[in-house]
Amino acid sequence: MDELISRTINTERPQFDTEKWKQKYPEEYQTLLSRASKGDSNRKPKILKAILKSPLTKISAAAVIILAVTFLSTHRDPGNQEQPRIVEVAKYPVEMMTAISLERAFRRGGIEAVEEQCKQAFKPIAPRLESSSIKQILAEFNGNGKISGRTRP
Amino acid sequence: MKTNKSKKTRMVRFVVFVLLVSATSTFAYPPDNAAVLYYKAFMLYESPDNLGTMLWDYWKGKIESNEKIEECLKKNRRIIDMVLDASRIDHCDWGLDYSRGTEVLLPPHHKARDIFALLAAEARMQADKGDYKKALGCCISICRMARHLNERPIISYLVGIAINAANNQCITLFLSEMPLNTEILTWLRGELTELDKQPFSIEPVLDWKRQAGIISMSLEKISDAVQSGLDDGPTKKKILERISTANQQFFAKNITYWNNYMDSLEAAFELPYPQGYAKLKKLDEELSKEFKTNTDATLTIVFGPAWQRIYTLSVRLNTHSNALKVAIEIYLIKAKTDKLPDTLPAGLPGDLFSGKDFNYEKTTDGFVLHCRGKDLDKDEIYEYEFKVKK
Repeated sequence: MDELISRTINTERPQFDTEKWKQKYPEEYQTLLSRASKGDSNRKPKILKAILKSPLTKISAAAVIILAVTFLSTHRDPGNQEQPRIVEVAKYPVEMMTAISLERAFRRGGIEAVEEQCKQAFKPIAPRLESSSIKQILAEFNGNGKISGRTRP
Repeated sequence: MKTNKSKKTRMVRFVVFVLLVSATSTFAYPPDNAAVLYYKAFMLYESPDNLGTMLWDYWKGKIESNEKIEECLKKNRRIIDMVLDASRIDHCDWGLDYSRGTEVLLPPHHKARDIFALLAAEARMQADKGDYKKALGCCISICRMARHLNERPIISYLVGIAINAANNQCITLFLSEMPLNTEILTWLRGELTELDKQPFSIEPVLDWKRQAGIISMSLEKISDAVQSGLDDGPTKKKILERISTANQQFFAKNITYWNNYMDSLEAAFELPYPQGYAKLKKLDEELSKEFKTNTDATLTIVFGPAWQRIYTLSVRLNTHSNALKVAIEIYLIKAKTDKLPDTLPAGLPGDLFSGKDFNYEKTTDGFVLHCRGKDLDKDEIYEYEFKVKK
């Protein structure tokens, strides 16, 4: 168990377990062997093992992943990089109702955008019931009915 | 013995007096602060979903009254009365904490627009009944409400502008429909003159903006202001980078730059429209240019809203209000002489886009007041059409 945790949270230098990999992916292993057999049949598995164990391979793989993520995040939609966001990230009503925040809304879309932001800030928590019957109200008092007040969606 | 009796009598009188005074102040309605009633009305009023734009179409005269509109006005009678009561109170304090600078929390002014539609519909209902004085009285109350809304923050001013502009449209419609009546017209002129004693002005807004900017230009407050005030992008990033290495000197220099900027801005608002607009445009361009190289300009860019637009909206509203005043004079001449004047009487307020008198044109069913100057923000020349009921 300790060994498993240790591997999972990666407290030590990572090690590639070739034997387990062979057991888990027999088909892939056979494919690699068959490719290797076309060349030097004795040397190929050793080379593969050496390559996979090499720290340079691990560093290269990590570098490729980092570069890919960076590229995707910065170049996914270059045309929109400079555009101001139209849709606000969810905020607390207190943040949405400050003078400077509403001025920002005005710059973005005039008085209509200000109004929309205020409406969002004061949005009711949930729809209210149209009306309650006496039976429903009594049931609520007795703890048997649905609560007719506002509830979170 | 006599002295003791008179002492007791005096004591009883004093206690009764204190009780009466405290009872009066405890149960006084309306309160001495209009904002209390506005907050209540804003909280209680919810524009009915099934009405859509019906109230707006109704006051504009696009549709006739119907059951839904009548029911809405009936059910919200107490809110209408509450707002009318509030508009008659001189003092209005929204209880805003200005020590927070630009982070001051604003009242739910978006509800003011809904309340306006309700009052305008009520005014239209009165007009439909033929009571134009009551209808126009409702419009005057809306003018007062807009003045109450205009506390120092720019947004409050802009909400006030939007309501005043719609209200001017409402008054124009009633003037065009109502039979000529010297008494009502004279009364309306008097009410508008009275309102001008407390003009709907941008001056307190500019004063507050300067102070709020200075308060927020401090190490403790600036991060929140930048986060709330700017959209994400390279400008915001650059500002945050500069702030991350800022010291007291940085803030002191930025405040000096801001004060100079606000001096120029206030001077621009005092100029005639074309020059003022050009100066604001130049100020905006200079600020963008200086921001790139001058760190003293860093924070001014955070607090400068779209001044050209605000300036134009302000001039547009005042021009429309002037057109109404001129129209009332023309209606009065028509009511007294039974004919429209051939030219505009002298000494009337004019078109603020050009700084000249309106161009007056008689038409088959009334008259039109044309602006001579252009709204440079929208590249448009406005005209105000008034009909005369025959």
